[in-house]
Amino acid sequence: MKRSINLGYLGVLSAMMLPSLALAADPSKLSGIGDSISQGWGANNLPGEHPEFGFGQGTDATVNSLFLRYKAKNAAMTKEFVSVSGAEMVGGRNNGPGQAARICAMAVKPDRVVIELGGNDVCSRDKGSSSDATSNLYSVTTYRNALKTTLDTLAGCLPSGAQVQVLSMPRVDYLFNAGNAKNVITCNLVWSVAGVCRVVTGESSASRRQSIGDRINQYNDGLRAEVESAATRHAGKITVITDWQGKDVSNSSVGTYRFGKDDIDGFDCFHPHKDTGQRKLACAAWEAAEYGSLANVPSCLK
Amino acid sequence: MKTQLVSLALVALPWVASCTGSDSASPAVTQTEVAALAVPEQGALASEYVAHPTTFRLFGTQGQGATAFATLADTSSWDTSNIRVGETIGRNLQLVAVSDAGIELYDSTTKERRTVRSGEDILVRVIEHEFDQAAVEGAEHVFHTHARSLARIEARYGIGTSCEPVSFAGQTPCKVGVVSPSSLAARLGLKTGDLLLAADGSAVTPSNLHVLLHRLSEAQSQSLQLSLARGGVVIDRMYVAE
Repeated sequence: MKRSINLGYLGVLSAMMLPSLALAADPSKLSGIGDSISQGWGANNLPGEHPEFGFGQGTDATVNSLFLRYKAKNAAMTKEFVSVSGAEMVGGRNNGPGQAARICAMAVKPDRVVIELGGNDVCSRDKGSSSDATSNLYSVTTYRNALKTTLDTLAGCLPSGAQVQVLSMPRVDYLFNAGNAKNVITCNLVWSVAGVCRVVTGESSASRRQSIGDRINQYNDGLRAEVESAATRHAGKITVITDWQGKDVSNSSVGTYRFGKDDIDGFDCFHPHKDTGQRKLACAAWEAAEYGSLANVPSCLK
Repeated sequence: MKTQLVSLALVALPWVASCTGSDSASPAVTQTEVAALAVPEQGALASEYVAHPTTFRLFGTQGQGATAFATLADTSSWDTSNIRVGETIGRNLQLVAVSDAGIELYDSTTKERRTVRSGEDILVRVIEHEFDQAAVEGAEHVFHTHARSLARIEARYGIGTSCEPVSFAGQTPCKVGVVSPSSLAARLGLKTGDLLLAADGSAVTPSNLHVLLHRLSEAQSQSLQLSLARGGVVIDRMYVAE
């Protein structure tokens, strides 16, 4: 009798503890792998990095970043981003796997990681050949293997229950369109002088720019396949998610969002502005993660 | 360093910055090996070379024929380079074939051919000359430099570039012109079209560019902060003398 009472007591106690356990599982640290968009480059129309306006790590109320949204859930939430302006998923020292290794070297590992890369994988390539605008772009296999290495590296060090969100790659040809809508003379002058994403901004053929956009869609299809593969491979350890839902539904993800003239900065016409583009990215990333709904992403991107 | 899509074969890509410690070095490079290097440094002694066992992952390949290239990542740092057929990794490993499925490497010192498929790793012995490690890019835009080697590079290949002022966003950065292969400027990671905004807070001009770069090859060289714009993004690069 005494034994059964005790068991019953433990059962009640366990039931009472469930909410506490759930709270303990709430995210406590956010990290980010990314490029100049994550670093809030030019987000306030001034050159340079302004991470306070970044969609992931920002502290500005207007942007209402992922960090601030998590912090609203858990006031003790912390952040430590390793994003680097100019970074690619594939190339260079600051690529996805390299940044993932830096997260693994952190004293306190994050339990939420957002990955925003890809624009420079396209923009840092030389223009393609006369017959193929994509001849100097990475193959989809190359992109996928870099992402796979990034996710496997993170899975090897993140705490159990961690979540990694891989945002789809933005269409840089849409950014080109947005810049032209904003100020065709000024933006094209800046792009030319500063060498901004010349693979599209220096491309006069609309069909060749479209073929680059098509390659980005293929990257994003590959991204989703790699995310699903990693989610299966690391099931029970971490969750891996993405916002990409396919190319056919406009504004259903970062990768399909058609940036408008008001979404981009007034300095180099190629980075999201804090009041618009960055804010929308934050909303989309939030809705694509555990507290939101993918169905709400289009409303973020209006 | 990150994308060196040059068309000539006789270019050695500097690899393995993280493998400079003596613990990771293979046995010394022999004179016989030096004689068999695909891309030797003219007149260099065997003692000027080091060899490192290095594991690369082939992320993938792109294209066919002369325009095809492969993307390889050093698994110790995940630093990548894109190489075309005919180009080398270090001084001894030549890329001889690229296909959709993978690549074939030829080690000129052992006469061995090795194949690796996309997504797979391959362990190789990479032989480098000291010039290849004269300025090694680390994480977050930090270059680790060796003044003595840079001085030898400057003496042999020159500074290798110039710049001209342009108007940009209310400033007058100096735009880098053609960068000669193997030159001091190339080793320091400058690329044609870079906009040099400031060096240690002062303006970069056509007349002081050579002085600034030369400073890094002086024995008492310490560090240099170079602010440059590339691809529309401003990068604060730090050269730190080792």
